[in-house]
Amino acid sequence: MAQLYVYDGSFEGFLTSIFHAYPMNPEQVDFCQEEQYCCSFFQPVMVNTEIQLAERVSNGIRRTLTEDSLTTVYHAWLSHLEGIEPAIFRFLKRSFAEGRCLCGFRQDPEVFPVMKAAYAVGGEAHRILGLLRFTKIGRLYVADIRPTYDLLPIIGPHFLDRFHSQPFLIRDPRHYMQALAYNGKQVSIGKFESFKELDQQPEEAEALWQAYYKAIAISERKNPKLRRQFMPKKYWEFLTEMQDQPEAHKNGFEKAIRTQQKIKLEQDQFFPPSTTFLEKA
Amino acid sequence: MELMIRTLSLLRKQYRFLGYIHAKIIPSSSPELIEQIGLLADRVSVNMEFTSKKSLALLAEEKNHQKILAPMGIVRATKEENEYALAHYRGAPVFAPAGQTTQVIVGATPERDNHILTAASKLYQDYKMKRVYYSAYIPLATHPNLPAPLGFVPPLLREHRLYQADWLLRFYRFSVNEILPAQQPDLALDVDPKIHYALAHPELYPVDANRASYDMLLRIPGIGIKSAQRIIEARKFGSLDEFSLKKMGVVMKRAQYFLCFRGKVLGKMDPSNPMLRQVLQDGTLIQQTRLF
Repeated sequence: MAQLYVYDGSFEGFLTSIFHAYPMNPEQVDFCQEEQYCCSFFQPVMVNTEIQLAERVSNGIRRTLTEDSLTTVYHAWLSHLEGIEPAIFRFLKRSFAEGRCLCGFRQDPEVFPVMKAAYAVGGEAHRILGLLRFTKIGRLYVADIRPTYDLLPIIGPHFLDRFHSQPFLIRDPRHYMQALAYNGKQVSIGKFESFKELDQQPEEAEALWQAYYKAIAISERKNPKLRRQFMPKKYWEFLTEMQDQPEAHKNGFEKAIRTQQKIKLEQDQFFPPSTTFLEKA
Repeated sequence: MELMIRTLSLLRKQYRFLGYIHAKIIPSSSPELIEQIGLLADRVSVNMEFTSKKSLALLAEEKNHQKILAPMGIVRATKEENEYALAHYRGAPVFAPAGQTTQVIVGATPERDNHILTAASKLYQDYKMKRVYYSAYIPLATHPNLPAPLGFVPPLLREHRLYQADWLLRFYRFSVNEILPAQQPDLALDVDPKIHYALAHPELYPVDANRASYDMLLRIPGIGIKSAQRIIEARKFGSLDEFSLKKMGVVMKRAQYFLCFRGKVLGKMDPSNPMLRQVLQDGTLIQQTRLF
């Protein structure tokens, strides 16, 4: 009989629910975001996000464990993989019980899934930093991405360093229709209602970039396999220099979804399937 | 040089571009100009082109090693001064935060790999290079001192092997002599330099994954910097078996022949077995050479 904690979908909400769930046996706890929750047979705990409690948990992780553990937990949580929340909970309870950071204990079946998820998110965030292409619309620079994981919260600082006073907007239609907006002073993450593709009017800068991409290519050095490793086809959709190959990135995206389903299946071997009562019924 | 500096300061100060800038320093520039450009750019470089004086004289008359090495030395000294300033004074300007690099051209002149790698390792030690880039020569022009372009195959695989050896120098704690012993002037093309080293020294293997030092772990083909560090970390918690090594990211396809767990080796071939070399060959790269 697992106790379900329903939180608002924010990381602070997740930490608050960890605070409330902490006395429980980790095998009997599950978490769910409000948006995905519809009903369950037993009474779930509806968690009110309380910043103070969330801070108590994050400071506890920082002090008793390490700063690294907190980053790992945050990144792993951002993966939103199925079953990752209870996995993080087990990982944290275990770490606190031992009173030390367990990030190095990769051979352990309770540690590995969390480390793996965190690594995947961090890796994609690093990659996407090089693959964002901004288009200027009026005064605003807009970039679209459709990454595998929810990366907006962690890629913000990088672009803040580069765009000091120019306002920009990064849209991610794949993860809750989120967008990261910067108005020249403040950054915020919000949701947008509908996603309309940007008008692909060949702008001068875009044409210049495409011409540049073609001109610096050295035909003797073409190595398509290596290029695919650095910029997989699933990201080509929004890459300015790849707009002349619409078919290729369509295939790439479909294939990425297929592989992701496969990864999900593999992940099921690492995580015991999450037992929301809805599924059981 | 002055024009470059003006362009960069326009970009940085007027248009407030904060992105990455890589600036090429013209050989025999004055220290003042080098300092100015380093304060504007993220990375600076002076291209070496050829590691031997003879080739440089033949193909790049305007350059000589003195003219190239002098600015490299200035960059190193300025950067060290700047690091001191940054550590002691708040708000000190940053000089070339991404360091300096250089490039050498491979295959246009008769230099052997040992010559190139010795020069590279000196550049890393004496000038604190961040990277030495190796570029396989691709013919564009005809010149009596250059190989004839017709039928010339750019040595892309050789370039790749040089990069692999370069990584061994910088991250895997190898020395040039270990990668290329005196009787071997060129890198092997069929396997990567680390596998070549392991096959030439069967007496060092198998290595016990639970006991080996960091340096020795790095010498196992299939274990990289990351997995070696993870192994060291993970051993603090408990002993490792082959499944845990997979979780560390070790490529067992290669590592199995060189590892043991409590004396047990997984691979079915001994490192001294001459057949192992074929098993470990990199299929894709051999195809690549055939393409061109």
